[in-house]
Order: sequence, then C-alpha cells, then structure tokens
Amino acid sequence: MHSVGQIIDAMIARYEKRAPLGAEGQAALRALPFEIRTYQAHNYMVREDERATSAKLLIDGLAYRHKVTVEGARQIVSLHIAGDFVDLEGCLLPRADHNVQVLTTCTVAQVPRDAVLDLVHSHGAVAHAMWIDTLIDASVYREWVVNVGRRDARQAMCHFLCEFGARLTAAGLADAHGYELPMTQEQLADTLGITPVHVNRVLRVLDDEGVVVRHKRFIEVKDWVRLRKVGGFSDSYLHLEQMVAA
Amino acid sequence: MPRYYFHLYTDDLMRDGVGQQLAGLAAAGDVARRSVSEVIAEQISRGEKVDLGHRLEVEGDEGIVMVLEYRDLFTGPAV
Repeated sequence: MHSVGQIIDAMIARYEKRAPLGAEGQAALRALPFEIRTYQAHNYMVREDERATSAKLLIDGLAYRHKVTVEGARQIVSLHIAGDFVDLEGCLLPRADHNVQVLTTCTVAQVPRDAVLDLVHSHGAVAHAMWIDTLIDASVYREWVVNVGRRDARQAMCHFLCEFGARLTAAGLADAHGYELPMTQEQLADTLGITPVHVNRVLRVLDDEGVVVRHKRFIEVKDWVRLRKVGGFSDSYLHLEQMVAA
Repeated sequence: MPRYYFHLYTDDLMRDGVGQQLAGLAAAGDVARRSVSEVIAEQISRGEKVDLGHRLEVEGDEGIVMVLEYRDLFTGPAV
C-alpha cells in the first residue's frame, strides 16, 4: 500500500509530465486542503443526485461507479484504483449523475470543490493536467460502451481483465502472474452487462482453455497473449503514457 | 431477502457457490430464464449446437426449488 504522500507525489509527477506546473503550481497542489477519510467496504462515497462537494483522490483500495435502471438493474460504468481522482467532475457539475461505491475499504484524500476550483482558476497548467484526467476517463468510458455493447461475453470478460491488468501494472499493483480483483460474480456481471451465471460459465470456459483462472479474489493470468487476442485488446485508449510519471 | 443458487448442468456441472439475493421465487425464475437465454444465445452465436437436455437448477433454503430445462423454453416438434 502506498502512503498518502507517495500518492500525492505520484499525482504531481504525472501532472508535471502533462503540463509544466512550475514550482508554484506544484506547491499549490501540495497545499490543497486534503482531508483523509476512510470508507468501509461497500459504503457509498457519492450517491446519484447528491450535490457534489469534493474531489476524492483514491489513496488505497478500489472504488466503482454505477447507475441503476428504473427496474433495479445495475450497470457498473467504471472502476478506480489508487492514484485515480474518483470524481473530478464533481467539482464542476452541481449534481452527481452516478453512484460511487467502494469495493474494498478505501482511504481517500478528499478536497473541497471550492479549493479545487480556486486552484484551477489560478493555475492554468494544473487545470490542463486535470482536464487530461477527465479526457482519459472519457476514453475509457467509450471503450467500456464498446465492451458492453459489441463484444460477446467471453471477449468482453477478456478485454476487461486485460484493461484492469494494464491499469494495475502501470500503477505498480500487478505483475505477470496476475492481480487481486476483489469483485464478486455479481459485480463482474454488472460490469459486463451479463448475468452472474453467464460470468461463471465464461470464467469456467476460460479456465478450461488455459487462458485465465479466477481464484476467489485473485486473477491468475496463464496466457496474456491469448487473453489480449480473445478480448481484442490494445492499450492505446488507456493513454497510459499520460498516467505514469516520466 | 432469500438467497438462490443457480447450478448449470451442461456437459458438466457448473455449481453456483455464491448465489444471489432475490425477492422470491418469481424473481428467481426471471433470473433463471435470463441467465439461460444469455448462455444459449452466445452458444448459437459462436456456432455451437445447443443441447436441449441441458438445464439450470435453482436451489433455495429448502433445496431445489426450480428446474429449468432448455427444452422447456422452446415449442414446436421435438428435436
């Protein structure tokens, strides 16, 4: 687990790479009134239609965003890992248009929206760097739409496992062997827009084929090449070079 | 809310060790049909033949509460 200081340093280094912040910009970011908060597993960070009051930098744990249909069917629309600003748009839009919940107990460095807005109004480079965060978010969402809409369950599962693996690897949280994925069958189902029974069957088939094995909360990747091929995965849409410091 | 487990009997048995919390038998039936329809649809899409003898068994607290055979979802002359 990275410390709060390490995550903030990493964020500043990442932003510096995108736009020269200058000593003043870096100092202003560091001086943001971060408040450290813990969210217990399964708690909500933000509820749909709530007034957004802060931006949350994820220090540790996993969080996800979702929406629920009138009939009560849930669609998970994104996942967030340590180092992500979970809801920068919370600073600009008055109302949350989705729910944010934590998968695991999460540590968060919360900044009041006014502090973020003051900073971006006075430091164009910081605004530029944060803007890129939201653009990358949007790119990942576009691919998510393709994944839920046009890939069959087997392809979509492989693509999702590749995406998550790539993001964790870039953040230093995964290796060639695999990674921790603390998601239930139901949460995986809601990520791919399929039923849990289908999730179970797809994972069983992928296990039989020697591609990937799910051990409760650990994804063991046996064949990254095949996982990428079946998922049709190419990491360019993740803009990973914008997500890691030089 | 009661928990229901959805065990898929195809060429082998795929046990559901986790289950889903659902409002009741009617909801479990909806989930069963939706689950089977997805699995069957993908098989057909991938060019596999679907075995009408396969089934989904739904287990509740009292044991198996529903059996959904693939053939029950289709009508017309028997294959």
